[in-house]
Amino acid sequence: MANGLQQLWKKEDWWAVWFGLGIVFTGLLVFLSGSTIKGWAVKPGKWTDMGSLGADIAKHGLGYLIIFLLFGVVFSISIGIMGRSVKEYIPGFVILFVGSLIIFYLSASPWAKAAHIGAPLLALIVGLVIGNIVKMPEWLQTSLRTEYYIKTGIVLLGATLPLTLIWNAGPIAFLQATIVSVGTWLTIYLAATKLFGLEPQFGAVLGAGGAVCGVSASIAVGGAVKAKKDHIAIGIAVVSVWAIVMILALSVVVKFVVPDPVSPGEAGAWVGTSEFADAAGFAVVAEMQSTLEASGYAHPDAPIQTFTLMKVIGRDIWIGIWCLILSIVSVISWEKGGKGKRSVGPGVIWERFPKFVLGFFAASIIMTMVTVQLDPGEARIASAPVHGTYKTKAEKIKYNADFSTMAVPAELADRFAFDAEKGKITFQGTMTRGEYETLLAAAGGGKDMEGALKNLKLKSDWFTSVLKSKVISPVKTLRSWAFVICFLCIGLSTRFKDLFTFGLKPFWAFTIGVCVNVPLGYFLSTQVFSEFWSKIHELI
Amino acid sequence: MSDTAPLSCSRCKHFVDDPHELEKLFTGVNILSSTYGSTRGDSGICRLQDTFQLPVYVCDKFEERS
Repeated sequence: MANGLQQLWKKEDWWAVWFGLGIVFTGLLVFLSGSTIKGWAVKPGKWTDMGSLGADIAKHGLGYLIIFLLFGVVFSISIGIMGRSVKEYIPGFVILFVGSLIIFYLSASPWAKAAHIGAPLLALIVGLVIGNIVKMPEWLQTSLRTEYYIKTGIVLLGATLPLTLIWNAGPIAFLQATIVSVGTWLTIYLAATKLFGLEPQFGAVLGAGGAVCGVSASIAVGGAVKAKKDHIAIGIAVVSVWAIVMILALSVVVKFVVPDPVSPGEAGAWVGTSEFADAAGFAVVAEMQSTLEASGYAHPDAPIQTFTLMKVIGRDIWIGIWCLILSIVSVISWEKGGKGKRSVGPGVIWERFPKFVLGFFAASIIMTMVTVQLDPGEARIASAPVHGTYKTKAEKIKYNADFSTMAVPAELADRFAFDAEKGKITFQGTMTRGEYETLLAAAGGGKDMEGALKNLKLKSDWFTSVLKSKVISPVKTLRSWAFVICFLCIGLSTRFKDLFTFGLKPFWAFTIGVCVNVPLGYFLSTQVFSEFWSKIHELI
Repeated sequence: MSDTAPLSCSRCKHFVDDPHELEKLFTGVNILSSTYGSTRGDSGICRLQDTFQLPVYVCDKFEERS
């Protein structure tokens, strides 16, 4: 049993915080010393034949080794401190890491690109197939720590989500999530107790699983209302089965409706209200992100951002409140004549609080503060070559521009310059969209001018061209590793034969909740708050 | 755990709160959750009542862990 300070090294939430923030701090310290971690924070690139595959492995091999050692050492030590066998963990982790690497490469292959399947979904499907054909050995269970990996990934995600976004979108996320959570909980609880005659504690456990944060909520609420052991076991099975089904169903549906008619931001919010577990939801939105990235969509992170706002901030962090309220209801109404005495106070709100969320917030605050403190703003002079390539995820322009005859508009004469000798153009401060358009018009337009000025505009944005490129993107790559390892774990640890042990009553009670939750989440995300979620990138 | 803690489940030999033990008892709990997480807190199973509960109960079946 872990109490007080012991929680800091006995609970995986805190280990996810230490590890995640450790990576963020490392990235920042290396950046401040004038370098970047992006040299080793890598993942497989596209390949088309055995030659390009071999070249990519040779190029990134050292990076894979460093990531393997970093993740392997930290996870092994922490698993050991939490009381599990390191001897069992290490071979399991090797299998997971190598498996994830193979999945990354498969998802970067021409066949996966043609099938529009990304690493997240591939990891899940491969894991499910293997896990349901081959019985996993007992020692491998030690390394199948889905929650630990997803929590680490969520802390890393905090570094890529600006505090301004959390501040601006948090209240709407909370409002939408609360409507869906309360509606779903009441539906499942009433169906379980009134329609199927199940015990109220059982109904509360099932309802929490559908309404708040999946299996973790079922366990948290189960403890608070003193549910029967078997009811928790059934709750775990029902929620897990539905969560896996929803990963597959939502992943397929969003492939058809995103980005049109449903925007990626709306889709992320929908998944955030309608998936039952963090890891399950992240599997859907990470898959969506990888597909959008591959198609060159301008804001591929939108689904992950809106999902996180909805699931983590709108639903997860309120689990303690649910426990407190249901615990009081349980004492007053459900446990009359029960054995023993007890007292549950407001302290349960903090006790049940998912602590990894603190790491998520801390990472966001740290990166936002660094941006504010280090951005040189108007003092910085950015430059771009007149012959070169402008390249983003959404666009690639090869250009050969000539600015020798351009008449620079008077209002930008002291900020824009053309250096014919060095073959470059420069701009002081961050170029706005309006300033870019003014310069492009003055330069006479054309693809070459557009490419050069777009390149200059990109380089004038310190956050995007410097901090994002040297710190945030490598952190995002390490997050992708944590996620893919997690999704492979979900597949490998899901054995449907072992899960289908529940009766039909709890299954149908939960299913009725799903029938309310999914359309309600869709309606709120794509109709009521559509304007908000579809333009989420404008809030950053 | 302090020796001055009340004689509640947390010190009872019939109470199972070891995360590894709980993982064995709850099939599939590690697919999408964990017994090592904060949300479980210190809840565990009372073997006598077959309930999953907070470790705050006091009852006449209490037997101190050795």
